[in-house]
Amino acid sequence: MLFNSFDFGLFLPIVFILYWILGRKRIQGQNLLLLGASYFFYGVWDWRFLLLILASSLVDFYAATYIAKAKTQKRKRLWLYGSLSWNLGVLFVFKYYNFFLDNLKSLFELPENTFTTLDIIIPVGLSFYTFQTIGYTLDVYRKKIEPSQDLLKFLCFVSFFPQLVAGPIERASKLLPQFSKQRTFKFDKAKDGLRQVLWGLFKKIVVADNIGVAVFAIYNHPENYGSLTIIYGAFLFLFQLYADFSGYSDIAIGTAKLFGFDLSTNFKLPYLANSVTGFWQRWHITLSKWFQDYVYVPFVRWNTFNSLSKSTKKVVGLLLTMGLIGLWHGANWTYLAFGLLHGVLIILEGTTITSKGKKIKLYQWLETGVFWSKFYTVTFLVVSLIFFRASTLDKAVVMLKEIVTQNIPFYEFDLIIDKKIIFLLLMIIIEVWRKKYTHPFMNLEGVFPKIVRWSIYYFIIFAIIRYGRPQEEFIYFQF
Amino acid sequence: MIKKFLIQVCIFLIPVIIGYAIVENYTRNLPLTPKVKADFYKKYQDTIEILVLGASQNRDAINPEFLSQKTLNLAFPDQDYYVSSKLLEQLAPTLPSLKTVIIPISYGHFETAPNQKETWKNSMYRHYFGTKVSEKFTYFKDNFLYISFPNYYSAKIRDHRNGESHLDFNEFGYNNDVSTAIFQKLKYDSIVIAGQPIHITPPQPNLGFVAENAEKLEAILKYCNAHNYKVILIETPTTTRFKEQRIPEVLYRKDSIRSVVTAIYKMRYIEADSTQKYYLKDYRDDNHLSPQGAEKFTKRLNKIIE
Repeated sequence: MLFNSFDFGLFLPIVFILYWILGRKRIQGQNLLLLGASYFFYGVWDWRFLLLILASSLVDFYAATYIAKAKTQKRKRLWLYGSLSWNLGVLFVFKYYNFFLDNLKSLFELPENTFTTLDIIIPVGLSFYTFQTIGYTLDVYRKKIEPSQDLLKFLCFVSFFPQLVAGPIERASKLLPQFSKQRTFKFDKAKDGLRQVLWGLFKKIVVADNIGVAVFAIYNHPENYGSLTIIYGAFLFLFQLYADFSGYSDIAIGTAKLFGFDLSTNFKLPYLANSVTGFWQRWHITLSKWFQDYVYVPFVRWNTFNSLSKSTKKVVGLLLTMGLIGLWHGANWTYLAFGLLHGVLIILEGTTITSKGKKIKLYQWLETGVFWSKFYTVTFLVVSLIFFRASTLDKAVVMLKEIVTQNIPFYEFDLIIDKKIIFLLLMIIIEVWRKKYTHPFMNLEGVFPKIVRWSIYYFIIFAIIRYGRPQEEFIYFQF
Repeated sequence: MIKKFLIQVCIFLIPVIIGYAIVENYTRNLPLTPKVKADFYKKYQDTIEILVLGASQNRDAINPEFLSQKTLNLAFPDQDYYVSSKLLEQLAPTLPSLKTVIIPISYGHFETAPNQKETWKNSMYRHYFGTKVSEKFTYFKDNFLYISFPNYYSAKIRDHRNGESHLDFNEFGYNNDVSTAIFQKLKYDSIVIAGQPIHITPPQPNLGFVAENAEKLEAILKYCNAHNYKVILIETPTTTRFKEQRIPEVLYRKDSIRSVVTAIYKMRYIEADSTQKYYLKDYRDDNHLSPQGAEKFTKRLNKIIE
């Protein structure tokens, strides 16, 4: 079920009313309702996905229990490896197996029928909930948290529908305890949640889906457009991706608020960053934090590579982490290229320079806002996202070439979506204006009287109905 | 507290619901081609004897006014065999007097993508004729007309309000207005028209679609034969310059399929494409007949049916 569907518009109020009216007396009742709703929400895509999420939940629930109970470090490690094998195995089979075989075949020039590829679809949100459960097991292993004693709460933690299919990827230490606390209805929190949902829907339906039309046209046939239009298309994709994914996150966080939950912030106006390093501190924050805590830091601290110098370990660790972040998005060389490009830039930005007699890292200097730093960051993002958006590396290179070798004069510019571009500008202006809040509609009471606030909401609803396109999936669902 | 919240949400939503209801009602009553045809279908359901399927070529070529039997022309732009077969299977049982089904066979029919991504037409067929013609998932919003494709219906509302609908229907939903036709805009000046680019579909061969389209055509023919409906397979006229631009390979495949199906299934095949009896003023553009051409074509068709 998509957040931007009428079906969800029916589902949400029904669950909301049942949750607060029927389940208000007992935590168990609320949790049971949430679990049922989450499984229904997920099962609507394909009921077979439920078997996988249930299996993953059970594996990690019991693995963590046995890790905590194990008397020796060896046994603990055994249970951890068991859990990791299952989770990474599932990810590999569903997401990377066919890619791996295809590349093996072309590498060794093997005949087409050497291996049997799997004819399977990737379960929606697989990478998101798998990472959440891996994080849980690792935290139990590292004794950062106690294992959950309550299967129902754990199942809710893995499948909580607002963040199940595209995050934010929550830490067990933050989300799990919320299923143990009595949730009481808070008027202001619910109101704030609804406003955030509304803003998320605007970003997704009105901004992302409409500029997506131009992006699709330009990326599919760059040869039909002049250089300036192609550059414009690349810029539009930057904003499409942001509006789509941060729109989803706003809906997820807002929905969770309606049920009394707090989810982590996933975006902090990433395109206002002055460096690539700064960008990753503002973009898909829960994913980059996850990789930092569970991949980069352990790698750098790993004794096995003690022969390497500290800085070499950091460089290798960064490249590995960013490469994996790229591949996390999907089994394609384009994603790996995207991740590695960012890795290289982050490494370069980590070099020490002297500014005003002080030794600081390059990214710290950039973040002070030297005049060209934003230009540098956005230009790099636009170029790297060409790799992210293209279906193959060759196509990404073609697109880059088209920018400089177009035979259509560069000034023959085409907006493609005409006046709808105004919505993008509107989103940018509003988000920048309200940047100190987690979403622009937060605390509007102090700014506008009720009549103006309601007029704004009505305008947003009008725009959603009038400019909504046939239901488009969220880009990050495919990951 | 929750009660107060729910009441506030309801109060907030009342204007939204009322506003949308007004727009939805306005949209449903717009004088659009499908609405006129749906009204005709509902009024004469028991006496309709001929059903016309196909794309815009059939929509423009057959004016039921000139046929002796009651005819429902359900040809709409881009209607492929997939959609035609779904319409036939779902509508034929509701037409007790149905005797003849007219199906097109045209240059582009086999090599354009069947069962395309959801368009406004899917919701249109669903809303006006109660049919489900797409394998795409039917969302709750598809029960409403305006929100099923707001861009399209907003344009229609705007045209209607500005008096720019360019519609001059007869009772059968045939549009006699030619003011937006390309040839009319070029004042039927043959020299100017000759200098214009030709829009031809498909612009290149698409072998990948042929099997599925041919299969769907066969499904239509099987259905008609099984229910003893007379089948008329028609090829509507096109201009000489259109014929010259066709890709021989695509044309060859179309003709091969036509000869196979005409040999296997009971049908009457009418080939009007090679006739020289249609002049410039008989066309709206290179492959669509004008009301004048449609009169000529339909009268000829009527003689054959009789």
